[in-house]
Amino acid sequence: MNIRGATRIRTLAITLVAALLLPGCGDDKEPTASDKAGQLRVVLTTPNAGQDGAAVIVLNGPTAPRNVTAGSGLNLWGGPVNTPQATIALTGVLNAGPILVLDVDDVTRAGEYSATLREVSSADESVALRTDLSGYSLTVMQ
Amino acid sequence: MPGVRRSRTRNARLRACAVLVLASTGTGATLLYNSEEHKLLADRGAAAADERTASLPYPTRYHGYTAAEYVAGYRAAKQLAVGFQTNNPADYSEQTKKVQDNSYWTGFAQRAGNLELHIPALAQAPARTLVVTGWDGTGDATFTFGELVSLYGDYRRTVHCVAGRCYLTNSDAPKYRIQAGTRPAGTIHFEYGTDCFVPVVNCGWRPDPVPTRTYLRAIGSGLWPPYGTLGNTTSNTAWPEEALDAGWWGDEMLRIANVNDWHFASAAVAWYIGMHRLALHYAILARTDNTYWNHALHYEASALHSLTDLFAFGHVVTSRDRTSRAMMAAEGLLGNPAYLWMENVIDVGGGRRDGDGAVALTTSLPAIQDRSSPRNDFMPSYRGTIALANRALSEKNYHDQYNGSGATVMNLRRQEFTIKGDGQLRTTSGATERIITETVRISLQTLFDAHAGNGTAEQIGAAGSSFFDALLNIPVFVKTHPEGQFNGRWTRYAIAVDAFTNAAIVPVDASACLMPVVDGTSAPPAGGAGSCMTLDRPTGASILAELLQRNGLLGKGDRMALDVSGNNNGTYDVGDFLAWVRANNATPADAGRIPVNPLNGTEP
Repeated sequence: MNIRGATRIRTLAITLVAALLLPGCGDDKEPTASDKAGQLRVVLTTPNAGQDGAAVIVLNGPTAPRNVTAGSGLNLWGGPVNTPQATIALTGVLNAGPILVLDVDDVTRAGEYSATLREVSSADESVALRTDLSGYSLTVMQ
Repeated sequence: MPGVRRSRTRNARLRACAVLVLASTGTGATLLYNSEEHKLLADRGAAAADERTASLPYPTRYHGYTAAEYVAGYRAAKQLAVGFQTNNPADYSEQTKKVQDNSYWTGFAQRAGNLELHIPALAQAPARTLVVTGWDGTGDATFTFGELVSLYGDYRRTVHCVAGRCYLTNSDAPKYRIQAGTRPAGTIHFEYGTDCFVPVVNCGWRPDPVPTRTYLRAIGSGLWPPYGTLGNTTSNTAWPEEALDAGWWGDEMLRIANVNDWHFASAAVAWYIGMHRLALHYAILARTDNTYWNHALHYEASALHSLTDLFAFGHVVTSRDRTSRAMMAAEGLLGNPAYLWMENVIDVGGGRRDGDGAVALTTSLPAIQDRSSPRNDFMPSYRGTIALANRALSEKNYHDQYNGSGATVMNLRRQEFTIKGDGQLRTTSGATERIITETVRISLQTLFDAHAGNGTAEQIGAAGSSFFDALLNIPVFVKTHPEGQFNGRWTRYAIAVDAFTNAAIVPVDASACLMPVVDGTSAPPAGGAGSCMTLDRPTGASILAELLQRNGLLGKGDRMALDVSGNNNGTYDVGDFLAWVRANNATPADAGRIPVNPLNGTEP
């Protein structure tokens, strides 16, 4: 096989692979729900990392998540979540980073999900309510 | 016969006749906690309150008495009464001179109580003491708040304050009709002695005269003033105007005890609410004139006497309203200005008397309006007829019987605790004592909060206001009673208090399990009955639901109980939930089955 022939074969293969991978090329089927399903993470930003012991969180989304699980070392109270809007509580040491995982039908709609902190308590024996939640935030991301 | 009954009793023959004629009527004071107990509970509760922005009008103030100084007040009272300063009655000697009870006939009855006057341990003394000024006849004296709580109700019926001065005596000047000469105003005098009953000779038995304030402090610390074995059924120790005779105070105690319906059951609740609303009114006036603090604290002391009475089971079971009303009517006192003042208090507290004199509670409260009260609130409230005397005797017996038996009760915070009665504070559990002192603290705290805030008296004095949260602590449900007469039954005031406090604990069908009226005409039910109802505790499921949904599954009492055991910031929140999780080692899987703990009220 000369060089020109080899190049042609390689171009065809790339075209075929691309046709298989690109939407609308080589297959007429729409992606299924399971194709879009996946996990979203709720990530905590906190000025008191490791010093808080409980939080109440309000979840909002276009549909109810299939499942909600607490992050490592945390307990989830108020599950199962079966409505688009739900209020849950977490107990355990709250560090910055992922604190919840949402199994959702459509991860492409991640931007439509939100999570809001309603109450936060310190982890020490005083279990004091944080009266100022500035500096705290929750972000939903893939 | 009025002429005999109102005379002094220095005549042995008269006494003998009285014994023969009236032995069946019985006598004695229906007091609740003894005065030394009232004082200690109230002073300990007051010590824990936060006066916030209050600028108290000196000499009214919080004062840092040492424990020894505080307890010295009790020791002095016992020394004056019976001549020794310990809790061991064997230390008493009849031969000690200048002792109150050794200068009265052995026929006087107060000695038995004085021998048992309990001196608290140093460790029981409050860390600081709220002292309040009061006019004692010759000037402004100071009393501990607890002494005022003791005096009001058992020794003085009404509160009379004018321009920051609150009066504890009916007059300044004495009038003596038996003794020769005029005694100096503001000084209490004692009997002549057991071996020389003449007015001039001093055989050395009677104590030296003491300032009225000293004697009132002693009474407020537990001293029982002189009264005869027959009480005042037939006669008095002193003339009505002889308030500077020690015996007058014993007479007055008995006159009040005859008709003290505002210490019992629903009437006690109405009295507390009425006096507390008036105290809130004066605490608000103190925003612009701090001398009104004296008014507020005297009114509050009277309120708390009745409220703390309800931690004695005899006062929960027994009603005295119908008998007391009938006695006042029999003595022609229904129109007496002092009585009208007292009736206004019950009215301001939501109490309504029916034609029979029974007081029922309503949450429909009138405007907070005080009524002019006379300084001299003397009322010859004797027992009237033999029939009324017998009714009163039955009520005294019920009072004594149920104070003796005690009961395990619950309040609107679902705290479970055991209550007893007179003279038994020393054997009452620490948990119960903490609930009582906390009740005092909460009530007094609302005065300081009202003063520091902006609300009007009508706003904060409305039904449902958190300024009545002290009511959440009082017993409303009898879990068990040793004689089985009231097991699983609600007090007759429970439904009204539940509504009044927005506690939302009492179930809608509670009326089927109310305690019956027990008084001189209505005997208690038979014992041995099973529990009529249980007061189920909410589970973790409702605790969580309340946190997340704020759906009212928990009553106010439950929420406050959780808060107290959590971060105690006045509201149920996630910190309190975390404390509950930790206390119960709860997990999401089993939380629904875990009951709310009764928390602070748990018996050890």
